Amino acid sequence: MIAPLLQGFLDEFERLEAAMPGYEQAWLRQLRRDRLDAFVTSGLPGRREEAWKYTPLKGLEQRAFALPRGSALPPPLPPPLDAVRHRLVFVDGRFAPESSRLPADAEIEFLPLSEVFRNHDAAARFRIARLMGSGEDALDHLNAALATDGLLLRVPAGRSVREPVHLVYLGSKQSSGRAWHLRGLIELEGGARLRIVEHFYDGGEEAELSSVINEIQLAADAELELVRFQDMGARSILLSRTRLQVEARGRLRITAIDRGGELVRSEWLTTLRGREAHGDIAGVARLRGRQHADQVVEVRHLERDTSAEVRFRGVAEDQSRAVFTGTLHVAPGASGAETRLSSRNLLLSPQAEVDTRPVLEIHHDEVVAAHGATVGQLDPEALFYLRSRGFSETMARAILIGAFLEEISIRLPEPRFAEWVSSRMGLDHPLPWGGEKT
Amino acid sequence: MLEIVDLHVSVGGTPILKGLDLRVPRGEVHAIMGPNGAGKSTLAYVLAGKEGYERTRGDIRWDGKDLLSLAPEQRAIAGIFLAFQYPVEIPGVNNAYFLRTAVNLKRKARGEPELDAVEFLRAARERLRLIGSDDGLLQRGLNEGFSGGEKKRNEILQMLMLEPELAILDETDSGLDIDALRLVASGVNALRSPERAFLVITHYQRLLEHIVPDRVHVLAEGRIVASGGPDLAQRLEREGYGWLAERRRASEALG
Ligand SMILES: Nc1ncnc2c1ncn2[C@@H]1O[C@H](COP(=O)(O)OP(=O)(O)OP(=O)(O)O)[C@@H](O)[C@H]1O
Ligand SMILES: [Mg+2]
Repeated sequence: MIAPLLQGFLDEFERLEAAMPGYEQAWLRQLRRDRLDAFVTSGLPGRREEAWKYTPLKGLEQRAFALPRGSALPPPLPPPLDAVRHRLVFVDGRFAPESSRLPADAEIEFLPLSEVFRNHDAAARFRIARLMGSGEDALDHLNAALATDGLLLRVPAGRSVREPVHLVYLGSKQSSGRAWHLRGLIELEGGARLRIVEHFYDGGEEAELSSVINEIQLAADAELELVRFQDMGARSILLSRTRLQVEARGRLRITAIDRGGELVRSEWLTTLRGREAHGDIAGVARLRGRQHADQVVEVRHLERDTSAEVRFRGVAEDQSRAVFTGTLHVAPGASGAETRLSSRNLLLSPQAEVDTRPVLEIHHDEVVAAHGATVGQLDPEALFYLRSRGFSETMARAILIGAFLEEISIRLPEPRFAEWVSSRMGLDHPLPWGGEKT
Repeated sequence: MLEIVDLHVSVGGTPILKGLDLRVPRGEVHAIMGPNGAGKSTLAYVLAGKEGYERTRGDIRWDGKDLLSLAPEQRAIAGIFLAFQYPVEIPGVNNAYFLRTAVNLKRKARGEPELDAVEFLRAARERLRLIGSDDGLLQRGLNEGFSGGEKKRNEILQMLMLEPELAILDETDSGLDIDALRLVASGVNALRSPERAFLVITHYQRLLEHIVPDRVHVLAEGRIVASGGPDLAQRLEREGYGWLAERRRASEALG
C-alpha cells in the first residue's frame, strides 16, 4: 500500500495538473510527471540515509497535505519589511504581485517562474529546463514536480545593486495541512553585486509543509551577500535547499538564522568552481519547545586558492534538537585552498539535544583546513556575576545567549532588522544585538 | 546592620564556615584578614547569594531581614554589592550597556527615573575620574581581556555607580599598583557614609592605611578568631598569623 502522503500528492497532482502554469508545454508536463514518479518511487528519506540520519522524514509519510487552491491573502508583513524598496513576496508558493515591489531603477531582471512556464523562448526554456531538472533526491523530485512558481532573478554584468532585495516566503495558513513548493534561480553575471534578505514566516500556527529550492550562480568577480531569517510557525515543516556556484574571484557571504518551525531542514550546498572564489557561511539555530532544525553546509573546493569559512552556532532549549552537518571537500586540483569550519553549541536543558558533525574530505596536501565543534552550557560563574548586579535569571540568560551569538548577529544588516530579529529570538536587549558595528 | 550569627556553610559537602559571628553596623568599615583558604571568599559569596554554598546552620540578617531567602538579584536590588576577587570575563556583552542596565534596574526598583545613555555616560565619567581611569574600559566587552588591575577598577566603578548599602570588597587591592591602590581607596572613601556598611577583605595592611577600618577581624578555619582596632592589622603585618594559632591552642588547653 502506498503511504498517505505519497497518495495524497498523486491525487492532488491529478486534480490540479491541468491548472498548473505551463501545462500546455509538453516538455514541462512530461518533466513534472517523471519527477513525481521518481518521488513516489523513492519515498521520503529514512534513518538509513546518512544525509538524513538525524532527521528522518519517513514519519511524515503518514500525514497528508493538500496543494493550495486559488490565491490567498498575504498575512501582514512584519514591520521591518514596511519601508523596504525592493521586495518580492510569495504566498503559499505563489508570487504575490500586489505585495511586491521592484522599481525599474533597481536594474534587476525579475520574472516569476509561473510566467516563464507559460511563455518562454528557446533560451529561457533551456534555463528553466535545467532548473527543473536538477538534483536527484526525493526532495528535488517532490519540489520539481509540484513547484508552480518561484523567482528568476538576474543581475546583469557589472551592476551593483545598492538596496537589498527582500525575498519573502510565507504561508497564509488560511487552512490547515497545506503544502507549497517554490523553485528559483538567481544569477549574478560577471562583476555584479547584490544583497538579498530572505524572510520565511507564517500567518498562523496551522500545520504546513513547504519546500524551497533555489539555485544561485555567481559568475566571475560577482559578490553576493545573503541573509536569511527563518521564523516559521510552530507547526510548520520547511525543507529548504540552496545550491550555490561561485566562479573565479566571486565572493559569497551568507548569514542564516533558523528560529521557527517544527521541523526545518536548511541546506547550503556551495561549490567554489573558479580560482580564488570565496565563501563565508555563518548561521544560527535558536530552538525551543519541541523544535527540530537540521542545518547542512557543504563547501566543495574545486579550484586553486579557493577559501571558505563556515561558522554555525546552535542554542537548544526545552526538548528541542539542533543538528548540524558541515562538510568541507577539497578536490585533488585545489592547491592553496583554505577551509575552516566551527560549530559551537549551547545546550540549555537536559532534555535538549545537539548533534554536530564536521566532515573533512581533503584530497590535496597543500591546503589549510581546520575544524572544531563544541557543545557546552551557559557559564554559571557568568550567570552569577550578572545576577549579583541585579539582572534577573531570565535576563542574565538572554544576555549570555546574545553574547554567544554575537559574532554571527553583528552580521545582520540594518539596526531595525537586527532589533526585530533579536526580539523574535527572545534576546530583546538593544546590545549586543544592534546591527553591524562601526 | 549586617548580623551573622553562628553561620555554618558547606561547599560540595565540605564544611568551610564553622560558626562565624559578625556584626557590621551601617556607617562602619570592617576589615577581614586571614590566611589563604580560611573561608573569606566563601563568606563573600554566601552574602551575595552564589549557588552551591549551603548554609547548614546559623543566620544572616540585613536590617533584620533574612538575607539567605533572597535571590542574588534581589540582594543586589536591596543594596548588597560584591566586588569579586576574580571578576568574570563576559565577551560579547558591552561594558557600558551592562552597567547602564544594572544601574537602571536598581533605579526602577526604587521608583527613580532611568538614566539615558547621555546621563549615564556623564555619571560614569565622573566616577572614572575619581579612580583615575578614562572611559576606554566602558566601550569594551565586560572584563574582556582586561588586565588584573583594570578588572579591579571596573569592580570599583560598578560599586560607585550602584551606590550599595552593603559593599563587600574581596581582595580588591591585590593586583593593583601603588597609585591604583590609592585611587581605589579614595573611591571607597568617597562612598563612606553613615548609611553604608563595608566589609573589606584583604591580605595587606597597606590598603587599610588608605581605608581606615573601624574594626579588623581575623577569619581562620571558618571562624572569626580575633577582632580589634586598626592596630590588629599592623600586628598581623609584622607577625603573621602564627601567634593567633598559638594563643588559640593555649586557650583550648586551658579550657
Ligand atoms: N567549590 C568548592 N569545592 C570544594 N572546596 C571549595 C570550593 N570552593 C572553595 N573551597 C574551599 O574552601 C576553602 C575556603 O576557600 P575561600 O576561597 O573562601 O578562601 P579564602 O579565605 O578566600 O582564600 P584566599 O585568601 O586564598 O582568597 C578552601 O579550602 C577552598 O579550597
Ligand atoms: Mg578569597
